[in-house]
Amino acid sequence: MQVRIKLPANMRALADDIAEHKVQATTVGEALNLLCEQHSDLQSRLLSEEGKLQPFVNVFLDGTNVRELEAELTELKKESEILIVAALAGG
Amino acid sequence: MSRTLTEEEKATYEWQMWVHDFGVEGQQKLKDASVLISRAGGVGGVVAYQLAAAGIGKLVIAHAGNVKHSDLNLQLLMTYDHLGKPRIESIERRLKELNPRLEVVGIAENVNEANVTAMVEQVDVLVDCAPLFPERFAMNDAAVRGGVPMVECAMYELEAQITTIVPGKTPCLRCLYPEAPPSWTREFPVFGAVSGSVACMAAMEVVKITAGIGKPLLSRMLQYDLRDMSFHCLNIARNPDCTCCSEKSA
Repeated sequence: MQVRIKLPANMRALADDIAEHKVQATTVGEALNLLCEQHSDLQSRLLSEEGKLQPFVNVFLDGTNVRELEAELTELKKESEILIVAALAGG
Repeated sequence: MSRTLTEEEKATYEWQMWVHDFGVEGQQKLKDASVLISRAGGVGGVVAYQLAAAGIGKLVIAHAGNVKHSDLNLQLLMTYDHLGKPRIESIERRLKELNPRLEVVGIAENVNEANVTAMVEQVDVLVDCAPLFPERFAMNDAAVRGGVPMVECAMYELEAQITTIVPGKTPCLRCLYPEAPPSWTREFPVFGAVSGSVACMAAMEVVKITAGIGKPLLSRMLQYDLRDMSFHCLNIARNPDCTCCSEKSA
């Protein structure tokens, strides 16, 4: 199913300066992997070599942190929104 | 020892004391409160200025270095005539101009693991505004060790995020982000209005937790993007494996 992924500002330059992307996927991990296939520079920002979420990002699926669900295996619903929140320190 | 509000203070803060659940009692609590701000730059400077304006009793501010041109688009406590001179002097001068009753403890150092505990022990609340993760983690760890609430606020470009940490009750910074992103750099894109926006919210979080009004951002993170004006208030949870605040870390 098609889902929307909103990237944080500090990752958009790695994805054609586009904030919101659409992919067809059934799980959070699949959606992120598809996005990383299209924009390979995102890979290390989002996922470890083992395919796990990096410890400096949080991924919210329709407002819920996927670490409180099934993490990368969390299943998507139609028209789900994935919001990626990156660790920031700008002060 | 509590110092009661003077007539001058009652006149100065009259309009905010009209906030129905704040009143004279809330103003007195602000006067009795002390806050540590880690770096008074684009975020921390506005936090400090707003708290000084609101009548906080004491600010402890840690900020090293001298004023540079690139400070002046966002660091509202730095002034052109102070270029090349210590930032902490400009910070103290500007705050005292606004509120001469304010007690300011200026420290011409940035927070680090060696100096943070002594700073935290002086105050009731912390506001974390540093531009580097080692400083933020040092503040977080000291907050958890000391059981001191901390407002955690940060920004990048047109985005910002803020949450309020109460050790033992809410997620700490390391619950949210166990590690710093390797790609983070000291310099980042910023408009002063973006850093100022999250700073004003941080100042209100301090007012709320000090005066006991409203609903602070406990176990919630406000994340927003002023590019498209999207705001998300996200529920966040403690990490049972947190290396800082979980039972396993004890």
